[in-house]
Amino acid sequence: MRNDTNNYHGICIPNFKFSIILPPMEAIETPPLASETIAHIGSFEVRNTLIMAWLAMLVIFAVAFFARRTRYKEVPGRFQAFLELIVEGLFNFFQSVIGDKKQTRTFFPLIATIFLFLMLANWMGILPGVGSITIEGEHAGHIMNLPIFRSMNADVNMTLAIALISVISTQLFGIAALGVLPYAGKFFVAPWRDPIGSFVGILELIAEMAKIISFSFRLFGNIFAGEVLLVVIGFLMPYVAPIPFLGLELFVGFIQALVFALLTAVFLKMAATAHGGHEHGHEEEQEHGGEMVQA
Amino acid sequence: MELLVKLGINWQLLIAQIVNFLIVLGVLGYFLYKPILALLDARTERIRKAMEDAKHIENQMKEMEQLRFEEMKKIDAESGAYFERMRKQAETMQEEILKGAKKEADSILQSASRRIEDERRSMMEEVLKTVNKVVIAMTEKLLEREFTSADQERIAKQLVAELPKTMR
Repeated sequence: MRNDTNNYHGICIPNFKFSIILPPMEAIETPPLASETIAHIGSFEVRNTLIMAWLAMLVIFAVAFFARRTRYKEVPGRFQAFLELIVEGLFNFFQSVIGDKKQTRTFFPLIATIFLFLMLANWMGILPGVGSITIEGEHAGHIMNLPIFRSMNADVNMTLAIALISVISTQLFGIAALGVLPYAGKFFVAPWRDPIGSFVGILELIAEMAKIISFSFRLFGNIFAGEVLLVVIGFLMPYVAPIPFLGLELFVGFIQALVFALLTAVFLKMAATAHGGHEHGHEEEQEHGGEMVQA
Repeated sequence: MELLVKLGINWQLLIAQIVNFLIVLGVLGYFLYKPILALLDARTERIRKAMEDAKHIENQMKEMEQLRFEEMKKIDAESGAYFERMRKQAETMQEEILKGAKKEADSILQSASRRIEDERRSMMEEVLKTVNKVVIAMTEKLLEREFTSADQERIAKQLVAELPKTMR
């Protein structure tokens, strides 16, 4: 942070005996797009976002192992009841979206993990110390203070990784549900048989690729923007003013995790439904119509 | 490529994050989702079974209640007929007893009046004999003579004839 007082600007009203002095806008050090490398293990770069991912994993492991150690009882204690509340709530919510209990059971571990992991990481990203505890290091050819911890999803590598998992899982579940050829038939249609279908198939293939980009950049953009917002607000008015924005970031963290998980659930459901979807889809609609209406 | 560098995309980090996510997925799946969903399923199944049992018991209770109601109705009808029969029987017995008692009382009364009559007659005879003796004795005293048995008999008859009818 530069300490150039000559560049300070602000609001100064002559008739009043106070003025609000704002630091120069150039003095605000917004976080860079790329995450910073804190250390190296061989050629592997240990970045601050990876450290946050490990911390989030540590929290999840601690909860999971503690839950396992206390053993699940028929009459739950407070901790077990809390875990049951989360798992059952998520399961019922995703079931209301997917509409089929069996399919929900198949997809649930993936979509619930996406939701829980992303939400926890997003929330951990606004903890005190994240972004503010620094060490001196090199980034983009400059020696500067690098934050040791940075929000996990403020790194495209992480959001891209989960987007890839989401999209690849979608393809795998689609193939498992329909078979290789029927699933491939969604994208590859002989142009001499159905020219429009062939064109739509190509569009769908492009859409699958686009999902990776939309997934990863939506999450990255929101979290990165939140990080920048908090830095700017904290720089301009360090006390009290950032509190509503912290609340906003909590909300954004929850919503983004939910959107990611929900879209994955919808894409999984669509992938596991036959192209045209009349036969299978209609049967399912009849079978689970009540549940959908209830949801 | 410049954009990828600006964004800091690194394939090693990408793979590391994929592995991280898969580890989290595995741990949560094994330690959290699988046992909790199994527990919830078991609980749901138990609740469903308990509700079915409760419904079955409720139906059974309804059937039992219906059966009890019918039995009570039958018992009521049977006991009503039984009481009616018993009442009639009791009335008949009462009548018979009364008849018997009346008959016995009549016979007792008859025998008693007969006995009284007999006693009265024997007493009268006794009185007459005594009166005879007294009269004769008094007459003998007055007349100072002895009466023969024929005289005694005649006088007695005369006296008796003179006695008021009620005394005879």
